[in-house]
Amino acid sequence: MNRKEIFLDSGVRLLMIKTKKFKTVEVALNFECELNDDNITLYNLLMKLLTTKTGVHSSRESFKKYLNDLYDMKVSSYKNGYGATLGFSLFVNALNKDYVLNNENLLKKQFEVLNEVLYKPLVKDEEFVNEYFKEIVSEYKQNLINLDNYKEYVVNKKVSEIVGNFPILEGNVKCLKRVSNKDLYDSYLNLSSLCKSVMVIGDFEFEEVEKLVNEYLFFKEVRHSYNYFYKGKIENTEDKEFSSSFNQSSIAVVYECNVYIGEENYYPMLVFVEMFNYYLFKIVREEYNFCYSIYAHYLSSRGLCYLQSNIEAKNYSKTLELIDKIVSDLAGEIDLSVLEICKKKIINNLKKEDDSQVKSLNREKMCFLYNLGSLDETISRINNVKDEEINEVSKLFKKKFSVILKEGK
Amino acid sequence: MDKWVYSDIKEEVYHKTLSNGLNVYLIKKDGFKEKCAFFGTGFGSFETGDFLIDNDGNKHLVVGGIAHFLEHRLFDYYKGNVMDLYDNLGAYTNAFTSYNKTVYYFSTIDNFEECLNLLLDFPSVFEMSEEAVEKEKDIIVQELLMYKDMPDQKIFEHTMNNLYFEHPIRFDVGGEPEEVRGTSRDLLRLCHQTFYSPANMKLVVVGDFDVDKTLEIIEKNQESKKFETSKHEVKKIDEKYDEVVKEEEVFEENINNNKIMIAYKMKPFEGDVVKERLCLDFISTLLFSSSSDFYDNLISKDLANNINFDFISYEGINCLAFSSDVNDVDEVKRLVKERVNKALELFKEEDLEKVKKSEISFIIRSCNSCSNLAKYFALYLFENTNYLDLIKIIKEISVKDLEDVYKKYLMKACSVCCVMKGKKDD
Repeated sequence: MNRKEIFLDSGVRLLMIKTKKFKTVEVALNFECELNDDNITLYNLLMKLLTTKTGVHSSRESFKKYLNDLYDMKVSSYKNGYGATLGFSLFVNALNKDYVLNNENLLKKQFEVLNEVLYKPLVKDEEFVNEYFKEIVSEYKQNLINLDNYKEYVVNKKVSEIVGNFPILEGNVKCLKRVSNKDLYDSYLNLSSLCKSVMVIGDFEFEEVEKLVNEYLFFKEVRHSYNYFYKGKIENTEDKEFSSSFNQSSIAVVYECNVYIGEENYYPMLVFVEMFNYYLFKIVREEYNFCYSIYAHYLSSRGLCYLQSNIEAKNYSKTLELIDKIVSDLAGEIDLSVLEICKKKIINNLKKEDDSQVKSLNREKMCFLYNLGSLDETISRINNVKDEEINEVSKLFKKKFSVILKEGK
Repeated sequence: MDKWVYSDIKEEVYHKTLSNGLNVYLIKKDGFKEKCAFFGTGFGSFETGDFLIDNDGNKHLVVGGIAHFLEHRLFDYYKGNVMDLYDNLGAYTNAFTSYNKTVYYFSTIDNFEECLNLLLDFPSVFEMSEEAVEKEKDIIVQELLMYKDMPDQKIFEHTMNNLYFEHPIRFDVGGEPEEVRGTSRDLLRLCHQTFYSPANMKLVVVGDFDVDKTLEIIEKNQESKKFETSKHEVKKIDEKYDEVVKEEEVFEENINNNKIMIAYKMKPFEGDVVKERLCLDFISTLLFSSSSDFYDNLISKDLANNINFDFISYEGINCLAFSSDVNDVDEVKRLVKERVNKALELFKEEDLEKVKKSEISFIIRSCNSCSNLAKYFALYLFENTNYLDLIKIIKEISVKDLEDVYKKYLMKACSVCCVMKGKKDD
């Protein structure tokens, strides 16, 4: 694997990773803005609008057929929260020339498609074509309404309301109602100043990619920078109950970890949460059989941990007791074999990231944002986590509140 | 050992049928860190209603959800919980059960040989106490309850029940909670004895490993094993293919929107199954995919949203299903039926070529990941298909093939329409 990194005149970082391992080339454009509900909804809508139809291919049918003809070139978008920053990416993935008829080079086409998506949208009179705008808004709204049929999403929404400033990355209907065609178009005009990096991974020549970037992508100077951490505290500490019509209840528990990605205690906290998950599965599922799945996510740029499970309401109190006991036990004597297992799990998952184009790019991004060091350094830091450090970080791990969405049948 | 070379996509598959009947497929992926293996048996929920014959000649009915139950319990191996054993090796393991198969797998970076031996060992051993069987029931019931809260799953079940009179696709893969509660250890043992013999199983291993050495490990592992087998009496299914149980159903659920599923019941394949299956797959893509004017029309007129389609094909089952969230039920129903009736007009060379390119690229993309490649390769083996051979077959499909297959199956198919009406307040 061979990598090259340069900064364009606009300040946009161009990272190229050359490898013959994959049969495709992945190009990612990474944008950033402030993380809040309005921006999430706005940019979800914008990405959907830009990638569904274009000024050149003004129907879904024609755009999709065009992409299918390019061996189903994939145009997609993805978003994530990085502390107080919303990161959203535009991906274009295509087969590399060894796997297409007549060795046609699709890399140039990838950049042409990016150019079309970003700079030739379906517009009229300095707005998006209004019919199209309405169509995408309606589609997005119905997707959001449909999500309310899923209890995991509903419980997540309840948590978001309680925490405050804990936006859901799917967006929301209230914000969507506020977005006008004009607002969206203005945001579109500003989009090229939100691009922070272009990343390319696959089999290509560096010079070829640099040339294509200069020919097809145009960025305004990067001006904005937001905080990649969010360190606001959660005031609510009361457990909440909500009724629902689901057959089975869903629970969520929110913790403050008080440790952020890249900090001194980050690696011990990472291992701590892995151990927490190990015992959640072992005890709540395997020993007490209360649930099919239970999992805690460490949201390291916010210093939070979010646990979710589907259980029956009759087991709610006991489940919370068990979870509390797992956390308190991690402050005591640590089973060293479990510690080693959990370290190994994290390390192997990190190593596997090298086998995926998207995960490799994501790791590059995280390393850049949080100054994480090389994979070898990270592995060494995880390997060096000691039992007493687990005890130490367990004291920082504070439960804030739980939510139950009670079954109604 | 056979070696199949796919030079156009730079892949090689090694195959051997061992003396005990186990089919082994090895795919070497240079440069990848992950190594994984999928080990499966052709036992799923379609065996519900069959009879198994024990050593005394007594017949036992296969109850719903038992393949899935067995999958859960085999993780309790006599050397320890299988998840723990893989954890100790730094590896990940899991399993899944579907209509016609149960598949166990692992993914690892290190300790490949130990992981592989464990995968070949634990599903082959039935060692479980009555108490362990009882205990597992709670977890499985929780899993079933979770699925029952998924509206798309619910409308699918209703549709299949209205489409088929007898075929076990009517039943949920995991069974019903009362069937799970009634499952006995003896029946689990008999199922294991019947369906987990090597001749009924397939192993797919993918990663950067030494092929000869890996085969040696597998052969050595299998040599040391003895397998008891039991007889199996397949339930005779007398399905009517020119009739459905109920053409229309409207039911209410606590959801925010209305959903529709329209499904076509076709007779089982009579010709080249792999080719005919691909043709129907392409026909469904041409009819309903996002590259069709039909899809565009439904969305732009705000008639439907979250549009999905699936061609479901197993032994005795060929079903084309369209589903979506729906704003105008009658209009969507009319348009779907009109679309299917006029399908012959859609089969154009230019569009077919695009669909073929897209399908080929899906297969090539799946080769970017060891676990994806292993999964798809294993899944297709249970449809008696070599996954990587599909590329060659896809290239040969013509418009004439689509027309023939349409006339033979879909044109004469009967259909059902299910509507799930939301009753939640907005």
